[in-house]
Amino acid sequence: MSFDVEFFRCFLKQASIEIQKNEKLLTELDSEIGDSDFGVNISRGFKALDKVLNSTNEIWELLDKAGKTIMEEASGTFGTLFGSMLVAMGRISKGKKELTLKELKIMFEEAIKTVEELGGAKRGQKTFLDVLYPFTENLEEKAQVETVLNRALKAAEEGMNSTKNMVATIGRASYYGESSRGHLDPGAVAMYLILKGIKDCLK
Amino acid sequence: MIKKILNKPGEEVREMLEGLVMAFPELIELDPKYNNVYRKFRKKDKVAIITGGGSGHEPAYGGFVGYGMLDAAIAGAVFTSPSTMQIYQAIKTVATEKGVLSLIMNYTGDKINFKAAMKLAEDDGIKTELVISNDDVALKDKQMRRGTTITVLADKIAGAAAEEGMEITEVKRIAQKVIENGRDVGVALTPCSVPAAGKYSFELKEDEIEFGIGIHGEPGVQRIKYVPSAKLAKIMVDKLVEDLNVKKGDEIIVVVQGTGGTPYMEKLIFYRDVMNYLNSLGLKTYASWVGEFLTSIEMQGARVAILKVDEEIKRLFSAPALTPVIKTVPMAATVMS
Repeated sequence: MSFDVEFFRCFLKQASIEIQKNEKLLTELDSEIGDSDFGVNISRGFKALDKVLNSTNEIWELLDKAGKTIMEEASGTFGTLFGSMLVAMGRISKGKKELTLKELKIMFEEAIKTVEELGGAKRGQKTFLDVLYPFTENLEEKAQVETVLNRALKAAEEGMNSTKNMVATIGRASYYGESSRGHLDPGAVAMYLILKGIKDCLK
Repeated sequence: MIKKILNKPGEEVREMLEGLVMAFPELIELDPKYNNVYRKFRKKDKVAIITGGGSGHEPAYGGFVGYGMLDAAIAGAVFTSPSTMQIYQAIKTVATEKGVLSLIMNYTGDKINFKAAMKLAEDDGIKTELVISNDDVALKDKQMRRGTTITVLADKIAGAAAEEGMEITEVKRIAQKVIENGRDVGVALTPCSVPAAGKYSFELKEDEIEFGIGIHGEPGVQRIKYVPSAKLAKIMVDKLVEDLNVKKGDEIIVVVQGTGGTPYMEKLIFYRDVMNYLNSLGLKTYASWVGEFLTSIEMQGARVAILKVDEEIKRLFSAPALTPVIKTVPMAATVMS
């Protein structure tokens, strides 16, 4: 099993569907510990992906264009970091037509590196890194791809839920200090929704 | 509702920039899609210098675009970082073989977006460097300190270095030297109000002054009782002098400014008091600016910044510049905006 351009097209398409479907939920979560514009903003970014999804058959170019489109349309912190993450994933897969599971893991590791570098956050600060880390760590070639991805998604879901008991120490939610505890991080929820569709993209 | 001379909230940044380029068509031009202000007649053989951030700080930053200063200013919504793609567009537009230096202030959103844009530009083969200012003495922790007025002096001095044809590492070194040797502090007599929010950012009693304010209408670090101008000048200057550790005989550049809603009369009285007090301390003023450079919408208040200078900084500070606000000609040490 390898991951080709159709897999990434499907991944972005599913992510877009999930985010748009959950726009209201994301806005509600953001109104608890943010400034309530998250759902609308990020949904607008993913909606714009329609324009670029079928514009290329190169994996790197697809990710590059998708990342830049999201940055253009959803200019908040999440849009900027997620967009930069896609561009970084594209950058290291230049020239490749198909990727192995191992290469997919390297792509997500690169994504994490980029997000940490730009945003300055670390794991455990109640951000979407708490979803991205467990997901990536579980992309081990120990079983069939489907099993591995399901396991990684399970870990991502647990990571998302773990943000509920964390206190935000970076970003706007950190202004809420101790009272950010008890609320899921909207960015972590969005990241889980984005990854969730992956399992429908295996042929 | 708070009365303001506006048309439609949400349109104020573009309309303001349209006004700016209308007034200085010989110096600057506007990309209305991205709200980027560009210098006209850009040189191909120099390091390009850009800056950006939220609007509401006029005349920053568009007012400093032109010969001898900035090649581009990128305007976000009021008190909001510009987007990555706005910045990326600016970098691509002004890029030269010598590279693009982003000179920004220490705010989370600005840092994320400039760094992300620089990454995109590097993919295109553009050489980029970043300098972040943190000159505000109000906060103790240096890492947390916000960028304020010294950023504008760094724009001027690094801008002159770029104009002389220096390489990007040199221009960056000079910008960093300015930031390390400069400090700023601000006070507010009244809060300010973001057009879209329609309310004041904090409340102050009639006899109170907010000390150690940022530039976004956020409350300061301390509330003090109202004092006359000369006493206020002393309190603010003492804070700067102590933090920067300047001593009798040291040479400095001084910037005294209102915060947007301060009458000219008060700015000049306060400038006089700051200069007299600096003199009494035995500090030698090489040059000074008085007026408005980095404001907070309609806030009534004042900021003082001092920069310790050496021969290199003095030479570059006095080098020619031609922008909407800063027009430096030989022998003109004082600017009033």
